[in-house]
Amino acid sequence: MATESDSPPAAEAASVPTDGDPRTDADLIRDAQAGDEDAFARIVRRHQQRAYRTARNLVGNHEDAVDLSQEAFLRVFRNLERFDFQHEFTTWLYRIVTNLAIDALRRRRPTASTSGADEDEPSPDLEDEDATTPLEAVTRDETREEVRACIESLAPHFRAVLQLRELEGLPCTEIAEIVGATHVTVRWRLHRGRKLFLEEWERRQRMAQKGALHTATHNDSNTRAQRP
Amino acid sequence: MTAIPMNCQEIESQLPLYVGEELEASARETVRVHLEVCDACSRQMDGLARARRLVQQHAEPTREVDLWPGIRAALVEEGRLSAAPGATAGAGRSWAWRLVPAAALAAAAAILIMTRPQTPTPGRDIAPERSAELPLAEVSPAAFEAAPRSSGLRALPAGEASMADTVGGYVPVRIKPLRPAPTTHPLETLAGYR
Repeated sequence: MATESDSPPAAEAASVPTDGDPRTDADLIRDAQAGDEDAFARIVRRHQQRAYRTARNLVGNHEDAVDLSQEAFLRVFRNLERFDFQHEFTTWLYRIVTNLAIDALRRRRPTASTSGADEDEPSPDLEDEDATTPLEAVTRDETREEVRACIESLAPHFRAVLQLRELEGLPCTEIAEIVGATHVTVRWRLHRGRKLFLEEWERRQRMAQKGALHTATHNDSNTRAQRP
Repeated sequence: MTAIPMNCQEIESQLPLYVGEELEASARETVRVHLEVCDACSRQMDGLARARRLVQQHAEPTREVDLWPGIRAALVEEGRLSAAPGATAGAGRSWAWRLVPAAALAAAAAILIMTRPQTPTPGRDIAPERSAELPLAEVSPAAFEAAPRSSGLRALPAGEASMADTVGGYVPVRIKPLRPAPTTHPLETLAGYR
């Protein structure tokens, strides 16, 4: 019953080259297997943003994302001979990046994932594209921070399917192939992941409201106490 | 195709696909009709859609990256690519052939290390252990130099010798016999014993 009719904006056509090189991914891999370094460089440059973006959304910071995506391509190179031409190259790449990211997340201590080491870095791609005033920009950054915290509260396997579906726009069938689970499992993880995300979001909203109420009450009583 | 009515449990299993717009038209219509009349499922659907929007609209900021220079450097370091860029296509096993010179160099280095003569150097050839049971005696550096390796001489670490022991910049060595001098058991000296 499920179909793959969606074509979300983030999704890129997996095998249709858009970089001026007429060779498909499979062509490039064959050339790389035959010793053509430039072909492998072309594969990297064609898919590096995809690998980086996936890693960035999973691990949450630029430096780790660069390291992970580089390591993913190194693994691709070391295993070029084992590539299965029955599958898309991107599925293989997503699988390697996702596995590396999940391993990295599992190695992290729970408190370390919310470090936000580069939260102040400029974000040229998505930088406040909808914001028209500084206040809106601040609000947007705060919301993004809250969303990040909610996502980080999820277990890695929920986080992975959520990111691959919502941000990479991949269909559940391909996600199943990437994470090595059945379609039904992926669908359940997606459902559960969204629910857990929303529960955490609403919990944080309630806490923020309570905090604001408490601060307002505290300020009010201070003001009254300072009156002559 | 006519939409088949579903119960809430069936609808819930379809919601992940419905909210992600992955359902085909007929199934989508079935879920839509159910949501119109079922408040519980409709609320659930709104929550899922909200979660989806939040995640999509607040994705992590990304940058343009160029990973190839770092990847290439790592592959050169691993010996999988030659330092000179731009390999040509054609040789079916060219990656492997590039490993041959590196492997030969590594093998030669290993042979050199294994066959290097082991000459003792005063102050550097450190005794592996100091056993209280074994007699130790000091000798001059000249005696140490002249003594064959089979004599069992070992230089002790500089930290174990006092400044007064230091002669001509060398740390005095101590004699450590390969085996203790044979001793006679006290009971064996008793005549008529047994």
